[in-house]
Amino acid sequence: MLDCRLVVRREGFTLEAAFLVAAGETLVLAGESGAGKSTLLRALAGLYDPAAGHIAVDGVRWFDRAAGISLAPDRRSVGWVPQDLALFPHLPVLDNVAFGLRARGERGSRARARAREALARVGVADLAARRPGQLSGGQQQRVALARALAGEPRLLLLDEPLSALDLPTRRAVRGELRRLLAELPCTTVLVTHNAVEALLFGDRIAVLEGGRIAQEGNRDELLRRPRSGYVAEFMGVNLLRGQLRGHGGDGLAEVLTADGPVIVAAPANVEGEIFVAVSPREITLYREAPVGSARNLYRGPVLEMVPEPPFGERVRVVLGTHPRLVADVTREAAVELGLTEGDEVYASFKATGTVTYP
Amino acid sequence: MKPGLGTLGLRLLTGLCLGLLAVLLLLPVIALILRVPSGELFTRLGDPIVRQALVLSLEASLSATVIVILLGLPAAYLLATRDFPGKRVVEVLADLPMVLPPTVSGLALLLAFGRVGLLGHSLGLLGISLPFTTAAVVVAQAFMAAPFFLAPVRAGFAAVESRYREVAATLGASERYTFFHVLLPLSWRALVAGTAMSAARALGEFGATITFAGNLPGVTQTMPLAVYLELQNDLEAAVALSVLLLCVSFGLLLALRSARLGARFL
Amino acid sequence: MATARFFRARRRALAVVLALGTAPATVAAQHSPATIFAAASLTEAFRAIAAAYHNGHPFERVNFNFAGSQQLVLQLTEGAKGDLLATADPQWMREAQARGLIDGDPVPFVRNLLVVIVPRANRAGLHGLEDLARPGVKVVLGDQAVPVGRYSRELLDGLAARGGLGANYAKQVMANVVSLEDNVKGVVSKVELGEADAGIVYRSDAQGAAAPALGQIEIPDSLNIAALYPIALLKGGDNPDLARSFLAYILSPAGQEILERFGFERLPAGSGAASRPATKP
Repeated sequence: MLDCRLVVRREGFTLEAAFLVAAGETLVLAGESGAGKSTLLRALAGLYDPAAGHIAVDGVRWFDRAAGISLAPDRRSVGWVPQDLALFPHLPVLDNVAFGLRARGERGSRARARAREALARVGVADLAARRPGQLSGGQQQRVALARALAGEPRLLLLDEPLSALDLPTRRAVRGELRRLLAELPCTTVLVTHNAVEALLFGDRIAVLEGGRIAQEGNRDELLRRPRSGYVAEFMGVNLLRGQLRGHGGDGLAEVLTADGPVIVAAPANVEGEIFVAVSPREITLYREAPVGSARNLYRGPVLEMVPEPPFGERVRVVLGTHPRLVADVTREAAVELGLTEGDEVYASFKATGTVTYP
Repeated sequence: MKPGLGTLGLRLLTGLCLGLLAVLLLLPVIALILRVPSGELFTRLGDPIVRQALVLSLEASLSATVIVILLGLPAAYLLATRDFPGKRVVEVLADLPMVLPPTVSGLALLLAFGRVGLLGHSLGLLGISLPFTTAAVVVAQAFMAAPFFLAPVRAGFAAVESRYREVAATLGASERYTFFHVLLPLSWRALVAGTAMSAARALGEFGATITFAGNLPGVTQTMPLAVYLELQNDLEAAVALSVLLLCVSFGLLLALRSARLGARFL
Repeated sequence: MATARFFRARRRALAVVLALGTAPATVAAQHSPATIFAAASLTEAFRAIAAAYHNGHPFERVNFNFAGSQQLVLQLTEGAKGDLLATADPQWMREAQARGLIDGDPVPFVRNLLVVIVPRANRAGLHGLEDLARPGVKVVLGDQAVPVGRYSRELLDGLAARGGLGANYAKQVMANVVSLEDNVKGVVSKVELGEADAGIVYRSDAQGAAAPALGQIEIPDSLNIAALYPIALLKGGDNPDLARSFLAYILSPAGQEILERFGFERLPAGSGAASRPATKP
């Protein structure tokens, strides 16, 4: 279990974050590069001294500025996998994994046996005699994990674990890492700037923005109810906010936003200042103003068109409407509409495609 | 443009530079070797004075190198990994013997450790008097050779990614364990280079030695001193001794460079 | 005393030649400077002579190369260029002659007696020659290759034989030797610094710049060794005229007086003899 509050000074801003993660759970720290995520991780590892706060793992205080406690990294039960993995180039894989065990005083043979177990757990026991330089990216990643886990740490820290891998490897490793993390008894904190990974790995996700945690919650909450434009954008969701003005009878209501009124689906008990989340897939695009009952209609230029990986079957279309909207359409639809950047289009979404929440 | 001509021009320039360098460095050595009749070297080795000087040189420079390594490793480590007030000053001081004229260094050593030097009185109370002793030779050599060890080793340590040391710490390794099991293995080339250079410098040391330790056969007369004095009496003898010293130095450097310390690494 | 006559005749002849040579003194535009190779013990005296000479000859410049006599001869042998050579003993001058470096014949111009120096503080408490033989005293001498080193050994042998200090005197003092320096200034500096208890150097060195830091133990003249300093013109110098003129000045009363001021001794009138037998080096 991890209980921490950290105040970290970076160039230009101060980062403050606090979280509570249960044992066995994985917390994802998400956000853009430069937001301070890696620094938070280093603070947890003991490689960086926060300006204030405390860190307690399984009840043991690792850091407490007020009380003057700060354990050195080698006194913490932590496993840290940096972004570049940092496998020792001068040792074969087995000795790499056994390094921590032997450093803590374990006898060579026993350390090596435990190292073999760790390697087996990540599925690369056959690589024991190889050198790190001889391994592929994915293999190195697993060895680094095994090395961090060999000592059975109470806290596992992973810094952008998949960012160094190419796309096919990433997709292959992703699922396995998810399963592994789910099995581990220790608390895990994982850092990523990739929303998909955040959603995949995180039992809980904390999105960092502007020096603070913009929102923390499980994947469902973040996806369906982002509480800030940044989180929404990060999650790839359209977010509007405004005052709920009046309920219609049919479960619909009107919300007055800064860009005009929006008809949304809202349960009767929702009142006041609310968020409106619209999934990009709910947005339909037209060349000409549609006739009919499409309620929420906007007009604007196509700013950007991004085919979605891996094969571009769907296309993300960023519109310069007010408010800014992101639509997610099939490639066929985009072709049919003859969409190109700079075109003026109409975008609309049905009230039933919205999610509202306070 | 004309790429072909450019390459040719570059090659010519490189060849010219290398040629000049070869002349500067190799020609004096070759001239020295050519001057000695081959049997002469072994005859010289038979001379007790020569053997004395040679043995003294080897013993002293070996001791000096060991001292330099023992003191230099922690110093290089601290300079490479720590920041502290006055670090700049310490770095400059560590390089100083490299740029001071050897006789100036010898004089400085006298003024510090001589009988009437700064520490002289204290040393005297302990019954230690350094000047004119073989120990003084070792001290002078260590003093002059130290920067030649510190500079490459310091750079070697600093070149090892701090990430490795950080990971080692998170894995539970103490600083000492990390030093011996991560830092040293990853910088062994720098260590070998530093050892070779400082050993060679110690072997060839002259100015500081003659000023601080003096010149007495069997006690403080190292090979370079013997060559220098012989130079004035008997040029041929001096040349023979020089070639002898050259062979010893060359052998030493070759041995150190070839040393497959931990060849299993990399 | 054939040597004495030899030197005397040569000296007179040379003086005449030099006088004739410098009579039509032409002060043209800048001449090239003359380079003087001189034994280390002549450092201060020669510099003073050069300064005095410069007063009378403002357009002339003299450069010096001071080192142990043996080193000077080596440099010249290997091709160094100089106009005048002054060594601290006739042996090295003879060597230079044998190697074909000298133009004409050498001339003795001054002599230097030996003296024992001690640090001014004299912690070892040395007051007489016999103290040098005391066990534990640190003595520094010049190396065999250096003139002062050879003279020192001869002095010690002489003292053992005739000085009433015991037949083992020389051995005992040699046993106290801790360093054999490669030039006389090295001996001076070791004693000056207090690192050595005693050293044997020329009287001129004892009266030189280091004098305030030194004490002296006199050696009776009858037992002392007088080092004879010869000087000669070198072949292939840049400015032989200047060299001749400077040499004449050194030999002149003015030059000799300066030398005396620095602790050297004029040659006994009419003798110009070495007070020791010419032995093979």
